[in-house]
Amino acid sequence: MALLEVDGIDVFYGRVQALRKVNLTVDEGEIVSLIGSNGAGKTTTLRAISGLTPPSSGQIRLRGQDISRTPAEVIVGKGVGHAPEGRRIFARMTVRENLDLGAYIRRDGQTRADLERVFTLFPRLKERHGQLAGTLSGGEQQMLAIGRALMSKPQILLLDEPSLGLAPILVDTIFQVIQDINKSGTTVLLIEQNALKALAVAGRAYVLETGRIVKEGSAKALRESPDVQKAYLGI
Amino acid sequence: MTARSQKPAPSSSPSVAARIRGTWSAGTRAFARGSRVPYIVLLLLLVAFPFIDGNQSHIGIAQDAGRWILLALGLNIVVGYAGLLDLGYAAFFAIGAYSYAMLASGQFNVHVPFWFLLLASAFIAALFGVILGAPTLRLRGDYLAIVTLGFGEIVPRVFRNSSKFTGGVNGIVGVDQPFIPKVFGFPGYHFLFNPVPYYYVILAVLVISILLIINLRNSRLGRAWMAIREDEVAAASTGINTVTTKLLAFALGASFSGFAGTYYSAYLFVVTPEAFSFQAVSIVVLIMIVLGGMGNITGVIVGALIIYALQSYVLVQLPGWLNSLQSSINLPFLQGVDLGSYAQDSKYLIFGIILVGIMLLRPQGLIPSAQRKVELELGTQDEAVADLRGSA
Repeated sequence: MALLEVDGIDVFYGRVQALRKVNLTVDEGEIVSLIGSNGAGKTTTLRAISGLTPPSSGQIRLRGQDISRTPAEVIVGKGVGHAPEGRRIFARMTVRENLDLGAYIRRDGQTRADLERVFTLFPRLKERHGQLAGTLSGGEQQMLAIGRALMSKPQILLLDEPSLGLAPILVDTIFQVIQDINKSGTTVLLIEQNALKALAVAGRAYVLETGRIVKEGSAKALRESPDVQKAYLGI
Repeated sequence: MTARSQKPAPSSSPSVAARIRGTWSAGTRAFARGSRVPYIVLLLLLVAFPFIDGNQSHIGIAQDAGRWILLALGLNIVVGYAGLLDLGYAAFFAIGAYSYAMLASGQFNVHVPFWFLLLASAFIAALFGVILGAPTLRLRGDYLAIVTLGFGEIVPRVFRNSSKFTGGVNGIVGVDQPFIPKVFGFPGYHFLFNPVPYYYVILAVLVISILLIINLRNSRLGRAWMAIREDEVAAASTGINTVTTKLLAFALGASFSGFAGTYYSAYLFVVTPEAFSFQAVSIVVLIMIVLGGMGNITGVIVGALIIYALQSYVLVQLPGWLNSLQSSINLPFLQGVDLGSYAQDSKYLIFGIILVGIMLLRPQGLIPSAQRKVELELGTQDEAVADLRGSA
């Protein structure tokens, strides 16, 4: 059974349909990427999975259990960590408070180890743990958003444009960390506009266009597909 | 570093009681970390105050100021911590006041003891906080403000128009005075018209409230409030139930107001609907917390004291001061001009000018929280922000 199955979901914003019968699956241990241009529905897909924008029809299953009508705050507890679009860190709280809030739903009292893990992945956050998050640089804020999502000890991590607005050298760092997170056992579903980068780290990918999945396959196959090259890789 | 940056659940025991105990002691430790001496000295001075100053009207003023502080502390939970702009705070104050007036007076010939109703009215107000909150908390910012404004107008009007129960415009007169019953050989004590026992009641309530709020602020709930204030979507995606968390802020804030309301009607022996209007309560309390420093307990208290002093002392005395100044310097071109009555007529203009002046000088409030400080400096001076690193 796949870890995550998105089964024919439709999502509306008011009367505007953002997703049309989107299907995708993510297996345990994978890095799967969603690529597509602006407004294709990538963010909406992640928001539907994490419960922020519930689908009007179709089903989302986590290990076979339907979560498509479950509220966002409950879905986190089921093992879906979401680092949302635009980072959305708590600007007027410290780095440490942000991370602690990431562990808000944890009842096991074992958050210390996860905090150490986040600090190992992002040493910058450890240096700045007492600083207000709003005063961090863009890259550090992105690290914090990922770190906060990791604090809930997710089985699957949803990342929305982690490279957006970052300096090229930081983009490489972030992607390296995403691979490290995956190697330590967390499944990753990644949205990227930077399709080249996304297809370099992902095993499989889906291409979204105006709310529909138009292509799917291994990252390698997509990299070599002439359509994808033309539309998204600029080759 | 304060205790709020510690883990939500440092203990290995996951039981709810243990968690509450944990956050409680964490909060108290944070409070204790700074020197406690000034606070204890201040408290002793406040306890000794009625013995030092024998003038009963001064004690009366002090207890009145204490009631405003209580109101401001309650609204600070809603606006300062949870970031919900509530313009109808007076409604809960009115509910608390009328609860006592209706249940402890000749109105229905029901005489429930003051001490019981002091606690019960907090629950009644909290219940109304939830009733108002439940349908409206999906609204945000300006929209929530408008709905709460409406609620704040409706409640006093309902009290005014239900004359059968509330005495209408005349209100309820002859509300029971609190007394300490005869028990265990204690002779019993009636408060009557002496402000001193009221002063001690409000002082005790304030001390308990402040300790409670400090601990709430550092608790898991307090952090959840601040997360919602910062970003509601992100708060939901970290697993915070935004609906219940916001309702709890509303209910707790309202309970302080209900508390203050019961106290107020017991002190005055009278409640009338005009006492709870927008300009008399809701906006004044909001000004207190914004001017003092939203989210900072000391700031809120200082703000409450300053606005209280401005409203009930400076503005009241101003016409008299101007008249005596005029007669002592006796400028010819001012002869026949009644400066005092001009000041009387433009009381709110002067109040407004003072407020604008203070906000221009200290836009972040008199004693801002670390968060407000950074928010105002962000974007203007990036260098200064870096210096704040340690202070947060």
